[in-house]
Amino acid sequence: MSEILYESVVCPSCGCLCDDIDVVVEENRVKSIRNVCEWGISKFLFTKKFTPNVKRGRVEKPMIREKTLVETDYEAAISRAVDILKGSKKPLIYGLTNSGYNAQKIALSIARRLKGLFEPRGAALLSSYYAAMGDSNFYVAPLEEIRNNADLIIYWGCNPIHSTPRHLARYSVYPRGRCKERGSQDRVVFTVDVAENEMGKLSRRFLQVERGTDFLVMETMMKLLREENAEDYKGDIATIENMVRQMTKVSYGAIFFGMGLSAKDNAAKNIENLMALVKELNRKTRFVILPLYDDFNTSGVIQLLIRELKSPMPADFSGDHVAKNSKYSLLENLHEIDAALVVGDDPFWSLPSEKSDLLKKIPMVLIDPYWTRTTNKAQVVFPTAVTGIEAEGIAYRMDGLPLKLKKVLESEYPSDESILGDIYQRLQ
Amino acid sequence: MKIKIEGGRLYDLRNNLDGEERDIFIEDGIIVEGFSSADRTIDASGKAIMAGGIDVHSHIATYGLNLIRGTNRFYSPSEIGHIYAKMGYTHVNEPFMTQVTANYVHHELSSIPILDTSAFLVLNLRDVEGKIKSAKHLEEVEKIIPIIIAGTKAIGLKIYEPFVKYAERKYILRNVTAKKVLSFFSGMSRESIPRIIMHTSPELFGEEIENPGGFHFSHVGSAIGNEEAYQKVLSYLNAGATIDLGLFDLEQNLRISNPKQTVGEVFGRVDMGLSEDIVFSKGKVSGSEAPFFAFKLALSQPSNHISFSTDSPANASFEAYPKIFSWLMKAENRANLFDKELPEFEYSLLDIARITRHNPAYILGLKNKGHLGAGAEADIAIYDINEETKPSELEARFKDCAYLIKSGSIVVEDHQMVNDQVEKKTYYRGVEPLDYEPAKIMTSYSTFRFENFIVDEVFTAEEVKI
Ligand code: SF4
Repeated sequence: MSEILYESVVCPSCGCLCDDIDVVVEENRVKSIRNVCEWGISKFLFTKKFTPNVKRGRVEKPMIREKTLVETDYEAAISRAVDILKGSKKPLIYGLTNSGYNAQKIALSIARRLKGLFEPRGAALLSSYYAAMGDSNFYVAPLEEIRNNADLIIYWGCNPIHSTPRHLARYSVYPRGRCKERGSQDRVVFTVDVAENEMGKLSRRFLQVERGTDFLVMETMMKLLREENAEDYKGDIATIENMVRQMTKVSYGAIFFGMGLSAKDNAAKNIENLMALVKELNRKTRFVILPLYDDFNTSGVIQLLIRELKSPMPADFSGDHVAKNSKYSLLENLHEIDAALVVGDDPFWSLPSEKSDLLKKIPMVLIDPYWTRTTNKAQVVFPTAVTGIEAEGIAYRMDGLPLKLKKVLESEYPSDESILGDIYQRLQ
Repeated sequence: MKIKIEGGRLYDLRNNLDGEERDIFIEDGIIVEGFSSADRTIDASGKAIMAGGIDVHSHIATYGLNLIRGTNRFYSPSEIGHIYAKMGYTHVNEPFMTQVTANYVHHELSSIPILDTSAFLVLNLRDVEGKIKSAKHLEEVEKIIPIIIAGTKAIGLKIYEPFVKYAERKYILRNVTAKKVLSFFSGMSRESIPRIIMHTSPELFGEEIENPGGFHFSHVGSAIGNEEAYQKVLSYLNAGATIDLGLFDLEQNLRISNPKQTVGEVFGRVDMGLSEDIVFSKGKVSGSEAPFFAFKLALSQPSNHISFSTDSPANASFEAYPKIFSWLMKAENRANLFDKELPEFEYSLLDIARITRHNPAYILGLKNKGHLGAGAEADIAIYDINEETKPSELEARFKDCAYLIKSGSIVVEDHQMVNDQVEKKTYYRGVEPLDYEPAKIMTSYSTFRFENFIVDEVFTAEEVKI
């Protein structure tokens, strides 16, 4: 059987969307793969994250719940899904950050048609980021320019080694850039997180903060920048002083922030202060800020929401107006929801139990290639092709630049885009 | 569908029609000589007919604009499509697409309903800094640029900063002066790049340009704040250069500029790999003579080398075009704009068609657009305008066309939007044969592999290579 080489494939695993993956396929299986990180390998081999020799269980047939989940055919599953969604007064369409752009687009149309709610995973933090952008200023750069210019990289509330493993190698710390020709020797790294992790060893400074209190650190930094008294801060003020000194000395800083900043429901406060800090820093030197997305197409769903609704906030179509956007996560009002369509996410793993428990009480339609903690709670389950490996698509990198996702393996399963398309058709 | 438009007065420079009454026949999306029976007849008597409007320079998909839109300070793609269509426009050209943002810009453009689109490629001169210091590498660069244009599906080459300048002193040897850049690109053969688009600034008009006839100067109004610069533009026009006007409406507008040219409130900045950030701000231009000179220029010398623009949204948002047309057409409409006297010249409907259809089509190289002759794309705008239209009514009539036909489909009928799901296309300049190899040096510092720079069809509307 002949081998097929696919060059410059985009890895559909995290928001880095590395585009330099060379994949050799033989008999519809990945035989070898170059440049990819361990997380990416697991994705291409359908194994557990960072554990390339442990297979992940794939959902193999459409299923509907009788007493237990039973296998059925595609048509019957579609009918049941449509019945559930049509019968709902206020359905929630949730997840979508691991789907291609066109699938996200159909999901948004479904929410609109059903007068439901649409919320991508991780919306609380992102909503806060965009809200803060409206109040403060934005300072962004494509990763291209960060790699070319940045001499200080700060990871705040995120661990790129786990969530976006090649971020350091491709975009921030190690690569040689046009004005940073010696790569990491020309750059300094800081990390701010709740517990010292691998990043601590890599970083010139590691600042440990108490969970959910990052906003206090930012406040302190701003005071120091303004040369005000910051003695009331109770934590590691010496490191903060040190960091601030360095931050004003560099020519180009880049801050990447992650989900850590949404701890203890303090996302809004943390992000507001972080954006204000970046504004303050830009009075002295040049700083840019970007969210570090661990799902591969969070950025896509944000672009979509902005394009369609002029706001990246979760959308509530239930009112008289076309769309009412909410600043915060709509999951605060989960008790109002009477059905859910979950795409490519595992809310019973990713949401706090007080929220996911509410999902147990309502019928749920799930589209996901794998068995997860959520599978057994669903009324209807669709197996699906893995986007970017078994189906084409479009994804947006964390800096908002889109790439085409290729198909390198044949699959017996439909893409999430086509399943969503079939559901949407039947709702007409 | 076969459509016949009866009894309208046509305004079309290319076909020497200055209000002549002619019928138009449309078949399969194209204007044809005639046919015996139509599926649909539109009565256009008492109305003015022009080809669909072509906007040569409007920021509708610039990277960063989505962040402005995300805080509800810019139009959605659907609003853009609808507003332009109601004004009788069918094609908009995005003037700021870099190699890095090409996929983004095309994907954004393809989400705008109704309108055909195209984009200028803003070349990052840093990618060729070693090659543009002398004419030695001219041939090599002449080879690379058309490939990059074709690969990014751009329609033309634009130079935003005509120099290379590094902030860090240690890179001083990499810097290239404006003089050298201008001299290098002046020498470029018109066969490889028909016309190089120059972003204009007061600094640019302070430089000497050897061969201005090879350039198109964008929104010159933004850069002519005094008589000297004004005279310079006239001399460039005489030497064969083309321009778009960059007219103003003197309102609060969103500006996409370098940090020096911001006005009012600043919203944010984006590093596009140039020597300075691109800054988004909003406010009113004040204390500058530029708006006056821009109108003086517009009213001095209508010619085939001048296209309409406002550098939308900067000097005026595209939504203000009808108001500005009414100012150009009637002196009484613009009487209170400035303290100083403007020329008395008044645009005719043919002049408006010339600066919004004929000339932009020429600059963009769109042979089948901008006119109403047989073989042209059936993009047609019908306005309720005739000799009886009062000066005070012009703005409203241009804002709200009676009919718009796009690629042979009726989009606006009797002032109502009836269909926004019509065929739309992405126009770009191709090259034959297309061998990407010489252009691969353009990605030496990139986070993308060269293959992924090449804009795939998934990001564009139906592609048309010119
Ligand atoms: S860093 Fe992310 S995108 Fe890149 S190879 Fe690893 S998982 Fe894939």
